[in-house]
Amino acid sequence: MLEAENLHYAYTSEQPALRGVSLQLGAGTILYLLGRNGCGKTTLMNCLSGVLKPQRGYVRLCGRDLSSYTPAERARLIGLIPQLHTPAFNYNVREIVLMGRAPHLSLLATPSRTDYEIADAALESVGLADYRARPYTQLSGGERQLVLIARGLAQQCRILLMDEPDAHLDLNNQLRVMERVARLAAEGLSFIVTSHLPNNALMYAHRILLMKRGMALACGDAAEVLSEGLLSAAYELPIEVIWEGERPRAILPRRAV
Amino acid sequence: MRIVALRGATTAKGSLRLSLAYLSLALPFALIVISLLLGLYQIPIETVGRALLSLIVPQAAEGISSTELTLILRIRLPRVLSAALIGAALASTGAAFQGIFKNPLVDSNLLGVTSGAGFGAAVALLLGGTALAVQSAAFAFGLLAVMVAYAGSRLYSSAPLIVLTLMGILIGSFFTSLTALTKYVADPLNTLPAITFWLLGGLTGVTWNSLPLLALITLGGSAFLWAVRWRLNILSLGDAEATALGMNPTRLKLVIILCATLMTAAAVAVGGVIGWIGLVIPHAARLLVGADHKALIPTSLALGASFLLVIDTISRALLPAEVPLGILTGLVGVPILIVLLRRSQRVW
Amino acid sequence: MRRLTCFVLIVLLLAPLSAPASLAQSAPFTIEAAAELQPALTALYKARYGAEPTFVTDDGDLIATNDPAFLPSGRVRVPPHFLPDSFLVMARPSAEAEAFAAFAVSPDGQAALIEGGFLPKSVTVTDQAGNTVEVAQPIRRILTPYSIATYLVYGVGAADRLVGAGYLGTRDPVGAARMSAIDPRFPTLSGYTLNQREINIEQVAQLAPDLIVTSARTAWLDTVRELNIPFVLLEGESPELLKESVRLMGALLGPNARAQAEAWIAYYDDIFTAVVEATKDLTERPSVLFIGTAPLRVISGQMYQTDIIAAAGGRSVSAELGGYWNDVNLEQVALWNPEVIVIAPYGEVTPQTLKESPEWAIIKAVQDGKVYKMPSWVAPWDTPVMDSVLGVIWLAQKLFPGRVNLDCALEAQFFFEVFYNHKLPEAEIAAVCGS
Repeated sequence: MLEAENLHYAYTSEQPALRGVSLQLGAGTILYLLGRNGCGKTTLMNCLSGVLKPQRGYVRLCGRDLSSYTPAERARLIGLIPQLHTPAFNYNVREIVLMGRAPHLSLLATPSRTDYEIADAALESVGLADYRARPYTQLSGGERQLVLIARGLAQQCRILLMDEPDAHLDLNNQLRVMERVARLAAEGLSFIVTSHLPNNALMYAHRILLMKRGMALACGDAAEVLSEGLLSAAYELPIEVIWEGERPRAILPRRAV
Repeated sequence: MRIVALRGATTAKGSLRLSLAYLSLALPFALIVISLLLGLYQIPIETVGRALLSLIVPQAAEGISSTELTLILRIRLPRVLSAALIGAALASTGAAFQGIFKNPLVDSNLLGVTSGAGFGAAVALLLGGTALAVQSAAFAFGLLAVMVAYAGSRLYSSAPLIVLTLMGILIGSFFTSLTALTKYVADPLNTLPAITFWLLGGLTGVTWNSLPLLALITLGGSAFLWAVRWRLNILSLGDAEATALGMNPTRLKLVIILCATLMTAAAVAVGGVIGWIGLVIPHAARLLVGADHKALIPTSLALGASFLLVIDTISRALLPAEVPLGILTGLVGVPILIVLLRRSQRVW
Repeated sequence: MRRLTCFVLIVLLLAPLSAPASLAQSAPFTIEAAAELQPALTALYKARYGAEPTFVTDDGDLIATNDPAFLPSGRVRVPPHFLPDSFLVMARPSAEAEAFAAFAVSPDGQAALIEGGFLPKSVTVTDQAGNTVEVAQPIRRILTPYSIATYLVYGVGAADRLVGAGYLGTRDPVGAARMSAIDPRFPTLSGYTLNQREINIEQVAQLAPDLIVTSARTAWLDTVRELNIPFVLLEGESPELLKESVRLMGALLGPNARAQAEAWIAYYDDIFTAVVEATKDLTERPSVLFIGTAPLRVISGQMYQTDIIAAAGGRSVSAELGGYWNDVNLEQVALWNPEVIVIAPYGEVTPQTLKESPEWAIIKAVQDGKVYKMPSWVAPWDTPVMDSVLGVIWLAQKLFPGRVNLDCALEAQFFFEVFYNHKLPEAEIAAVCGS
């Protein structure tokens, strides 16, 4: 459904951020992007969401070049769930979710009754139906993340890009968010998730792209990618993978003394 | 069962806010009628009514003295209308600027339109221009200031908001300095008082001549801001999110800035520099109907028009000598803002 | 005639030599003076020529007297006063006697009289801010950052003592040309940063004035105090206060200035009395609205213009307003409904502006065509300067064309000749009070 081939992007000519990354994403898949800070995860996300245009290579969405989409067309297929943030104005939850309807409405239109119903349904499917009138800024981090997922659902797109959904969340909230993501993936929605928590990838990823200095170090399912060798190389740190029978269960760094 | 009950309640609250927003639109119209009845020159209600009626049925004016007729139709009416238009323009553009600049503490002067207009008017007054020349110069220099600020920000790649804001502040300060220079060289007997009064704002000299351009731009601009009001919600999230939500934020923001600048320049050209409305009114409106621009823009339009109508009526009907509007809006607006900031905590 | 030729020849022959020495030998004119005035005249004469004057009891070229009978009657120049109440009169035309008379009232002449003990070494005055100021005499260098003060110095005939001055009504080329005609030093005198708000203190130090005359509302007094230059503050926003200002200038600038000041005050009072006389049987005063640089900018009751209107026999409708210029709206003007509207001499507003406005058509003065722009020569006639007496005359003529028997153009001609030592250009006399 989404494929990227040999993407190159450099903010300045001395410092390339992406150096030939390729990936494929099918329906109902959760793809994790892992790697150190500055390895190119965010640049890759921005190339995939159309915010940046790759200088070399291409992104194909449903068989069409991404750059041939109008912003609204593109936004009906790919949504972006930003990192936890505080908007300048105190919108309530429903108003935030309604904004997901933007690509479906003409520039001068305001949301109709149908749009309100879609937004309410999206809130319901993330389990926050009661929160509609609550001020967004007064929600907990996990709840805000769920509201932003609901906005992605209201956007009715096929792929949601999530930028570090587990950042700043306690373990309970991390799981609460990711369980919801896993359930939505089971219903056919695809996710690309950046994260600094390989253990979450271990639990939820269908596929993992491990990146280093703008290149893909490895791409495959959890068992393939999350090996001690690859992880140690990616994070430049000795890393141990603890197995539980046939399956890796935990990833732990080892203190280099 | 509990959920259903709650949902019912929240829906009621949401629609209550929207109804409140649309209901507030009636306020300026009511105030226009009340303002027309008030003035230093006592005119009976019935006479005012018949004079207004005579706009449609000329016979209704029979028996009204020409003084009363002129005062109602040629002095009060254009003045009251322009107060409403200017208030609406300043408040709604303030709300729009706060939205697109993601900052509740700015108004439409952020990019220097008022400072530019002030300079244009000061130069025209210095050169002894007519009222029309002063208005045209104010309008032209207001636009020029914003264009320079915008063009200046484009020199830096991708024009992030902070550069644009900085440019606006710089250009604004530059024009403020130029205005000060104009005042410095102005004749203290002749042009200086005129410049000073203009810079404080006032509608003393408004006649029908001032109205067509103001009305055209304010009504057109308000209609546009009204139409894109919901999009302001999305723009207020920032460029990246707006892009991801399928918008071209740079282009829409440019059009909104242009529209707000035209409106502000037209308002300033007629009424002089009237501060605080663009800052205070959107806050008051937010307290009333929440942050959603869908309700906020109509409410700002209505409250802005109402606020300036009240202020201007105080200015023209209370004392023989007029207090400049810029002073009154500051005196009334700042305490209001302080109270609002206290009460709202973080409503925006 | 022969004597004159002889005198000219001697002057030409002895030109290379120093002038006083050469003239001393020629005894160019005789002085006829009472005995009590002779010592002072001797001191003056010695200071100028280094010799004893020739006193005669009869048929002198120059008459020095304190007898008011010798004061010329009618509206002519005030004779040069070298001592309080003592003045010089030309018995017959003599350039040298004229020059001596000019010397007698100059700072140098004043210095000679002070040295001889005929005039005080210093004067102490109480200025209009209530400060008591002692100023050494003679004052040779005056700085008047306050334009009103500048015109007062001109009016008391001491403009030659100015070293720097603020002006009013000279921003436009016409006003500047007129002022240059009155005083060729105008471009130099006005070439400094000088007003009530601002002053270049170093420039002031360089100009080294003996006295600064400025407004009571001056922003920079503290810096000037540092220089130890005496200053006198004026506040003349009423006829009484204006007369006091004028008297103050007379007290400071020597006996001749005092005589000029008294002459002007007498003239001013004369005019006031004439108008009062002419309008005393009126029960109702015509209502006047005085507007400034915008049609809706009107005077307050505290402004001098209100007094001008009253002096001219009218009643200012905006007297209830306080402060300075007030911006009003047309409803207020309609309430006042003035019979006459006077527009200040400065600014762009003209009677035409009001006549063409459909809104102003409801005002009585506009309906009756009684909207006038006050004329002005240099200093605006509506400000508290000596010229304002012409403003009173002009307005009285407008308000009471049949009653008040004053000819503005004639009075203006007299006024400028006496108090500015300036002959108005022939061609403009007719138009000086507006056409």
